[in-house]
Amino acid sequence: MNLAALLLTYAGLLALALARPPHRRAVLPREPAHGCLRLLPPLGWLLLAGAACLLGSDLGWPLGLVTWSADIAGSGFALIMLLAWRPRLALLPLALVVGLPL
Amino acid sequence: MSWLHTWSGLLLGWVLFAIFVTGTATYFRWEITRWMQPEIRQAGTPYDAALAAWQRLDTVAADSPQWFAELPDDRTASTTLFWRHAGPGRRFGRETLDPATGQPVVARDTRGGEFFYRFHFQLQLPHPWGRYLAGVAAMFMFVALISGVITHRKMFADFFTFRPGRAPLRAWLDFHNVTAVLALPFYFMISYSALVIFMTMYMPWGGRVLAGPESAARGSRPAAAEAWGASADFAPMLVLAQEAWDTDRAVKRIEVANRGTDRCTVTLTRADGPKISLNAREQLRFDGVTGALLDPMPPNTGPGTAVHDALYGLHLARFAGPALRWSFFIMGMFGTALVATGMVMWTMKRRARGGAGVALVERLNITAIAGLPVAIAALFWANRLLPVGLADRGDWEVYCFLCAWGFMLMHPLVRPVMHAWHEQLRLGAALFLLLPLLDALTAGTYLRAAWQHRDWAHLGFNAAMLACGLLLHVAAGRVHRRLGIAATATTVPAAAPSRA
Repeated sequence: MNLAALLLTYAGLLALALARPPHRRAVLPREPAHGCLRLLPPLGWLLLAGAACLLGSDLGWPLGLVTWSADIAGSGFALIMLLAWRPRLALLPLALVVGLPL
Repeated sequence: MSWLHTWSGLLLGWVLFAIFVTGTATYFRWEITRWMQPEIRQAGTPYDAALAAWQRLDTVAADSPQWFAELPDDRTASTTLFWRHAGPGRRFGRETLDPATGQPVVARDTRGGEFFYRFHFQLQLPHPWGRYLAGVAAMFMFVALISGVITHRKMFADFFTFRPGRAPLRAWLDFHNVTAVLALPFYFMISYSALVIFMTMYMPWGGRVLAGPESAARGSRPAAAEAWGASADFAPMLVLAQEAWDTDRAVKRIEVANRGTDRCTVTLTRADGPKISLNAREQLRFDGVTGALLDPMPPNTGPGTAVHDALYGLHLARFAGPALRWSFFIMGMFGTALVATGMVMWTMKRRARGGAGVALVERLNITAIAGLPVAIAALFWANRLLPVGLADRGDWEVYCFLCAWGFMLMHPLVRPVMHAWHEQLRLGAALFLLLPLLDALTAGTYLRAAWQHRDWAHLGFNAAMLACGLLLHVAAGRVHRRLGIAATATTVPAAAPSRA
């Protein structure tokens, strides 16, 4: 359960990062359609909120929110390190998100 | 407001850095103790240990008015006993028990992880000055956080950006931003709760006015001179606790108050659970004379107490399981990096200008950032190398720590700045990387036993030391590369005229 929340925060932060052109150019092979781009920031916030809800319902809100902020710090650091050195690999953890429910 | 951020961050930055390093280590204080005292093995259940602790206290502290016992769990291996000596004054006895035998441990004397815990708010200074200095440092950090957020609002827009290849100052600023934003709630929580924990010490006046004179005298009340009363049998109380609490989270603390009087109480406290507030502890209270179960203490209600206890609980993070504890540890490392990058940037911006102030800050930076890891490594080396029978061995370990740090303070005085950085980082890296080897050579039997019993505290400590060593090694490599660039930059102009 905690791993799912960690991946959700990662996906949310990635969506927020992709909304910014320099990161998008480094990560994605080509520019996505304009409609997709407009959806990225709300999608990012939605994923972060989803992670908070997941942790809150799982652990109770006090501990859930503490874990949520710790998860953001951890997955955010991983994302930033990938963006700095291996931007193409930044999408890789998302494969886990897709693979997890299967 | 930029100046406020700069100066509140710098003035006590070195103290703050040391507090962050030792405080972060404190998240694993019991694991550190286990590595520093490898002789003690985990054995028995907490209930056996509780009974053994009671018997031992009965022999060594029979006339004491107050007993405390901290029992072993899956993170600690030994029982710690405290008792207040009979008679006036607040003098305490202390002993560490082997839970398997119920006798004092036959293990090397060490402060263990307690050293880091104590250092991070007392700084090895005489009481109460260490706590005051730590409080001022926490206040400065709080001010630096608020002024930093206000002046650098832009950083939130693009905190994903870290450009290690860019100009050094740019890369350092990026990293300062990244570590700041990622764990910002953690920094606010940790600095504010630090102030709240000692709030009655930092701001005693309100409490004094509210409490009135009679309760101010309560702390020094001498033990009642009544006839010494017998106390109830302990085993039945323990049976009740055993029925109420499962072995996963069993009894953790025993406290006996007012021994010898008819107001004697025995309090058993359960191990910390996943509740954040310290108010949420589960306790069983018994009448110490009759052995009857008492009603639980009325909880301290009121919003002030609730906030205080929640913040205290957040600061200690005892509610955290292994995964969350590692997260807190990593956020503590971010905080360490945040302070360090801020202080280094201060000198980078002013290096070209030169002057005594920059030279001083530069040298103190080296001592704090590169020297403290060396001193900590020296503490661990001393733990393995000092003779086991040495009197006051635990104190000697601390002297080694302080001496090593003192040398790291002298060293930049006789070496050029970048060379001092490089040499201290290399020394720290070597000491940490060789520590597991030293452990294998000097405590090989315990290391083998730890491997056989899958004792992750001992093995994980060695792995963490290797990670610290690698981190310092990488940092030293980066400084070395800068040294190479600086060397060519200074030789080229010198060589150019000869060619021309």
